[in-house]
Amino acid sequence: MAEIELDGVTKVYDDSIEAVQDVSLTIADGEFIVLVGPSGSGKSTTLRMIAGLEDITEGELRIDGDVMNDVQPQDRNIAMVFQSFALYPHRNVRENIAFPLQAQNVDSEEIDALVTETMEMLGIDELADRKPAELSGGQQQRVALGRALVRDPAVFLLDEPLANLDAKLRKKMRAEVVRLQQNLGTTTIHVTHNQEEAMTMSDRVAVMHEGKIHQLAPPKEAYLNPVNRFVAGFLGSPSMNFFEGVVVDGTFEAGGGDIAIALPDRLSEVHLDGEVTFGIRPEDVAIAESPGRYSISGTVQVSELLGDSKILHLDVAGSEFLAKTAPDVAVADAESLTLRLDPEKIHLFDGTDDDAERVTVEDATAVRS
Amino acid sequence: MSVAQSLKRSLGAGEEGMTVHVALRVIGLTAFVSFVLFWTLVPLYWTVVTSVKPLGQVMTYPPVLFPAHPTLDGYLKLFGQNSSMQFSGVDGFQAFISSIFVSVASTAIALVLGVPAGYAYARNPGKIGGRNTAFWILSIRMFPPIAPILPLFFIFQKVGLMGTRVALVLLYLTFNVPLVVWLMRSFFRDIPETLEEAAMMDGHSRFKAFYEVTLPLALPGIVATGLLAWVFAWNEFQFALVFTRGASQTYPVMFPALESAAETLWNQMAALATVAMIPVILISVFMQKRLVRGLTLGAVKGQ
Repeated sequence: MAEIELDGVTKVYDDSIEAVQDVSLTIADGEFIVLVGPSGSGKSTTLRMIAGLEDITEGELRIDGDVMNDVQPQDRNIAMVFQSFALYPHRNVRENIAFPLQAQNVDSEEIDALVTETMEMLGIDELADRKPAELSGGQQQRVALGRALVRDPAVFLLDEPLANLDAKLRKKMRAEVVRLQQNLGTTTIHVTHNQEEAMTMSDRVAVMHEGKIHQLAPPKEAYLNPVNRFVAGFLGSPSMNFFEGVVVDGTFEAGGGDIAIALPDRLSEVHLDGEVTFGIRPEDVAIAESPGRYSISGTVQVSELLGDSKILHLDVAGSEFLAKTAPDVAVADAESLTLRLDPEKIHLFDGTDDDAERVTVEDATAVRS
Repeated sequence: MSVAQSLKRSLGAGEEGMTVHVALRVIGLTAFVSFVLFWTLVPLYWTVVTSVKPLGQVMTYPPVLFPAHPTLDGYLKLFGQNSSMQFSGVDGFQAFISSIFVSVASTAIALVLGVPAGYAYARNPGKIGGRNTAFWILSIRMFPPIAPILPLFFIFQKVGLMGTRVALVLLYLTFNVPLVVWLMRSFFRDIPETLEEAAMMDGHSRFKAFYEVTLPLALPGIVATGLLAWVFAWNEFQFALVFTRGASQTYPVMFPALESAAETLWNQMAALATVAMIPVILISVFMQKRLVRGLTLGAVKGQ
C-alpha cells in the first residue's frame, strides 16, 4: 500500500535531451493510473524513474513520504511487468514466479505455497514445469503478472504489458488486469501508447507528450474536456476532426470562407485573435436533411463498416473529415452530405499547435463580465 | 546406369532439366564432402598409423598403409624412463603435465579476468573508456608475437620467470584475455538487459541479477570461449620454445627435440601428436552441443 508523489521530476540524457520535464503527480494509495502518450513522450522514462532503473536528474520521488531518489530498485518494494515480459528463459514457470520470494528470505515451504496459490489464481498451475519458450504469449504474460503479484508489493508498474499480445487476448487481459488490481488494491501505474487501454483501465489518466503531462484527470473528464489540442486529438478513436481558421463575429471561418460555422453562444463571445483550431469528434456529428446553423457539407470519399458503426471519410472544403454513423446508414461514394455538428460538443482551441488550450465556458464568462 | 539416371528414376515425375540439376547438385556436394573428409582424415590416420610403426617402416616406399606388426615402441620411448629426447632431458609425461597446467591455468585466469570485462563492455562501455579501451585490448591480440620476444626474454630473465610455467601462463593471457573480452562482449550483448532489470525489480541486487540470470544464460558462450582460449594455449609453440626450459617445457617444444642430425624419430613424433590430439577431440565431442549453441549464440536473438 503506498502513495506515490513525483515532485518536479526531470530526466535529462547526455546533458541535453530532456526526456521528462518537471513532472509532478500524486498517485493515491490503491489508485490505477495510466500514463499514456505517443512514443517518445517520456512515459516509459517516468515509469523507469519510479522503478529506480533510471536516475532522476532533478526533482523528488516519494513513496509514502519517503524520498526514493537514491534507493536501489530492489529496495523499493515495487514490482514491474515489462513489455517483453522478461521471463528468465533458463527457469521454469514455478522458478520464475518464485524468484522474487528468494530475495526475501522466505522459507522454501512458504515459497512453494505462495507460488502455487499465485499460479492457481492466474490459471497457469498446469504449466509449472514448462520453460518460458514453451508458453504462448498469453501464458507468458500471466507468468510475468504472477511474478509481480506473488510478493504483494507496494506498487505495480506495468510497462506496456499488453502491447505484445494479439488484439483479442489484449482485451481479455485488460479486463483481467483491472480485476486483479481491484481485488488486490495495490497502487498501479500502467504505461501505454494505446489510448483505448488508457480509457478503459484507469482511475485517472495522465496524457503525456514531449516529456510533460498535459492532462491528469479521470478518463471521461479528459475525453469530454481535453485541456488542449494534443489531448483532444490523442484520446478517442477515430480522433477528433480539426479545422484551422479564425473567428470573425462569432463565426468560425476556414479555407478562405469555404467553411463557416456559427459558434454556439457559450463560445461566440470569447475574443480570440489569430489562428484557432475548431474541433469536433466524429461521433458528435449527424447526417442532416438540410443545412442549418451548425452544419457543414462534404463529399463522401470512403465509408468503413466497423460492425457496430460506420466511419465516413468526407472531403470538407479540401480537408479530411470523419463522421461516425449508425451501421445501417446508406451512403454512396462521392455523395454530397450535410452534417449537423452537436453544438454542445464543439471545441475551440486558442492556437493551432499541440499546446493550444481549449477555450472553456469560464473564458467566455470572463470576457462577458 | 549413371548416377543422374538413377536419381532421375528415383525422383520419378518432374521436369527433366530440374532432375539433372538436382543430380548435379548431389554429385557436386558428394564430391566436396568426400574431398573435405579425405583432406581431414588422411593426415589424422597417417599420424596415428605412423605412431604404431617401427621406425624403420616410416619412410619406406611404397608407403605401408597399416603395419603388419604394430608396436607401441614410440609411445613407450616417449613416456618411458629411457626417453630418447637427446636435448631436453625430460620425458613426454612431464611435457604433458606442463601443457595441462599452462593451458588450464591461463584459460581459467583469462576467463576470470575477461568475462567481467566483456560484461562491462556489453552493458556500460562508456564507464570504462568505451571504444578506445576496447580497441586497445583488441590491438594487443593483433600484435605480431615475434616482435616482443626479445625484450620479453630479458624482462623475464631479470625477474626470474625465465624457464617457468608461470611465464607461459602470463604470456598466453596477453592473447587470451582480449579474445575472451571480445567474444564475451558479444555474448552478453545478446542477453537482454531487461532480464537483469527484471531481477532487480524482483528484489535482487545487481550482482545477484548478473550471477543468477545473466551468467547461466551466458554459460554456453563461456564454454565456447574457454575452449578457444584453451586450444590456443594447448597448441602454442613459439613462446613455449623460447621461454621454457627443462621441466617447464610444454609438449609442442618436444617436437624439435625429437629431431637430431643423426635421425628423426618420426614414430615418437606421431605418438606425441596423437596423444596431444586426444584431449582436444574428447572435449570437442563431449561439448559439441554446448559449443555449437555457444558459437551460434550471436546469430539468434535471445527471447
